[in-house]
Amino acid sequence: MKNYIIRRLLQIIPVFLGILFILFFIIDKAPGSITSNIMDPTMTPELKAALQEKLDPSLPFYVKFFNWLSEAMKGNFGYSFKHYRPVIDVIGDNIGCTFALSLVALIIAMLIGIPCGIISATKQYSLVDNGLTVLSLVGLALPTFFFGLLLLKVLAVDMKLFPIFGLMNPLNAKADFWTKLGDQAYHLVLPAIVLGFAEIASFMRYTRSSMLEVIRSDYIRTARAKGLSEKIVIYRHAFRNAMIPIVTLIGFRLPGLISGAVMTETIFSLPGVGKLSVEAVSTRNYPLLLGINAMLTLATLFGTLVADILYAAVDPRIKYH
Amino acid sequence: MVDPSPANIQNFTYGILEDEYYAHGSFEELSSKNNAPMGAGKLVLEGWEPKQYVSLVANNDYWDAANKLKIEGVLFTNIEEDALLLAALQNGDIDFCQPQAKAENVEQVEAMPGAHLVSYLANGYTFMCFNTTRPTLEQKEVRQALLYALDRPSFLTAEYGSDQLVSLGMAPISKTSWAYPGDDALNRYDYDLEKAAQMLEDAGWTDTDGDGIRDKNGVPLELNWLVYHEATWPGTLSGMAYDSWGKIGVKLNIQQMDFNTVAATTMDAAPGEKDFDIYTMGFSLSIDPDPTGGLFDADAYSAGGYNASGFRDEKSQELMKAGLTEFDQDKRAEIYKEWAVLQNELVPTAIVAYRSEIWAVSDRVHGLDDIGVYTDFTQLLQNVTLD
Repeated sequence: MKNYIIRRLLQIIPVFLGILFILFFIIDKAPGSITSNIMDPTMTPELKAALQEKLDPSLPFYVKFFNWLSEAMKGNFGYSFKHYRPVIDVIGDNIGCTFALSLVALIIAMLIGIPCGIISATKQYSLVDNGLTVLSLVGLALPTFFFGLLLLKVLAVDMKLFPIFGLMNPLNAKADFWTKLGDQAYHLVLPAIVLGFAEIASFMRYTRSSMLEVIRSDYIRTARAKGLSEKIVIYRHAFRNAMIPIVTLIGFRLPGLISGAVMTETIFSLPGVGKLSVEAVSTRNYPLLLGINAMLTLATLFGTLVADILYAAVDPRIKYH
Repeated sequence: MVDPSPANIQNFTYGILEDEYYAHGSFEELSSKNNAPMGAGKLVLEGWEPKQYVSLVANNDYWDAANKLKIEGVLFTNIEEDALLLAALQNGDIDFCQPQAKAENVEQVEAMPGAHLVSYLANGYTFMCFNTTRPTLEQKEVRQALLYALDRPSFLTAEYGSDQLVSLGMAPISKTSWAYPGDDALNRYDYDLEKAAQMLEDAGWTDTDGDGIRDKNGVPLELNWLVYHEATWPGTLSGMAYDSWGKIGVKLNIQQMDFNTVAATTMDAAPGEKDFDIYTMGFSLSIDPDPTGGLFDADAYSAGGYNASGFRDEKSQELMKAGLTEFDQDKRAEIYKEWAVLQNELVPTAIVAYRSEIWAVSDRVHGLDDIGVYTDFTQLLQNVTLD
């Protein structure tokens, strides 16, 4: 197992570099430039060209790639000229919100989705199963912006139970840590519900199909034949085995914790990574775009590794060499 | 800023700064000053969180004691969704905001208890630029015919929901400017398909091969319009043009892309490489009407220049120069009026519309109702009181 992990970690390096290289190539070939958005009559073509040269020198993309890489290894991920700050700081401003939001949404999705999936599977084709299936399909089909605005309209605007926008109340800026934390949690309730809702459906469907498969297997029949109570059969024997694919699913969801959710962030005016990367694309803010993508690539690669390791941990039949 | 010019005064947009704020060695050094602003204004920066809020408090040491702020300060918050701006106003989370100038927003504010509307025609326009270096668009008659074949009043109603919020575009001088020649001096290009068809006919564009598209010297009258998706109006306008131009034998291809790509293809590309026939965009203008270096200056036809039409008219260039050497405002106005009438006839770039801006202000705020085209709310803050 130890050897396996070391080998996988070493494999990550060339894959990571390969992905970055492709990213550089695509970004380099995209039309438009950093200065295209600057519309100012005092900005002469000469000034614009000079600025362009300064911000994004016209070098072959592989030269830019190696320049970026050597700087990145020293911890310098470049400068976001839109924000007048280093890329790392700009991402730092946004990652906290994204992480908190996604983590809470993931927990909500798991806490509701997995039990619902189990109930659905044990009562297959019953009224409860059909009802939950319909609900989960609604969850998958409901567009985020519509569901988000609906919740805002009812719970925030009409009933005034939740704030309409933002991550914090600016009037609390000088409050103590716990007040601020509570305030931010309060602001994240609705966005987390919206983001988690679609995920509930997917967790539920995965759990249901996995459970159904396990329930039909021989060892469950044996367990029942031994005279074990249904509760023990389902929760001790079936559930553990049914969780194997779900655990893998969680591994794959890890990068989602930092990739952000553009729609949810926009509707609730949250400072998140999703919206930041869309802005980086539309302003051709290449250093920022690369910084975000490098981070996501790394998270995805590690997420896959974690999924594989978890897989071995929960399933004794699997051994890596 | 070496030569004397009546437009120079507009370049004084900054107050007096310590020299370290503009004498800098690197981009990073200059940038760092952006997060540590200095000034002698009515407000002092107290704190900020990126994309969350900016908190400004009254400057107690303000030099002009009579114009010190009566309120504690101003807090800017960030609301991304236009639909939620007015909800936040109604909830009392914010005191004033600037929603999009659309009829639905106006109706909502007018129906809202405890808030009222401030609206005015803005200093700016939306435009459609023709690539006049193309054989299809080099004749002024073709460009004019395309305008006659475009029902802009219907477009304005469809896009903005009300003709109160927008005014038909006429000439490249803001309607709010002292240099605007007046509607009567200008051609409105009223929708007239028959006239448009006749003009194309007279200009030599006929359908010789019977494919439904006019042609001349073997070149079909087929146009590519670059439309960006960040705003809705270019899509609406080009969609209407697709229908009505099709009726007079003009084939239109609408190409969707993002704003940055439109700007790069039209303005940044070198002359000869500007790969478009038509593109649309909106500009805000400065107070002075001087168009030098802008959309209509033939000398700005370059890589990175703002004139993508490639059009050159000596009379127009002369008038632009004359406007910058004449210091008497009345005489300057006459020069620009003549220039505007000329551009309204040549239409290398047509003005589509002059748009309004609207503000929604809570009734508990007094003193902001004079926000207008040349009066920013920041200039009114010293008068503001709250209930």
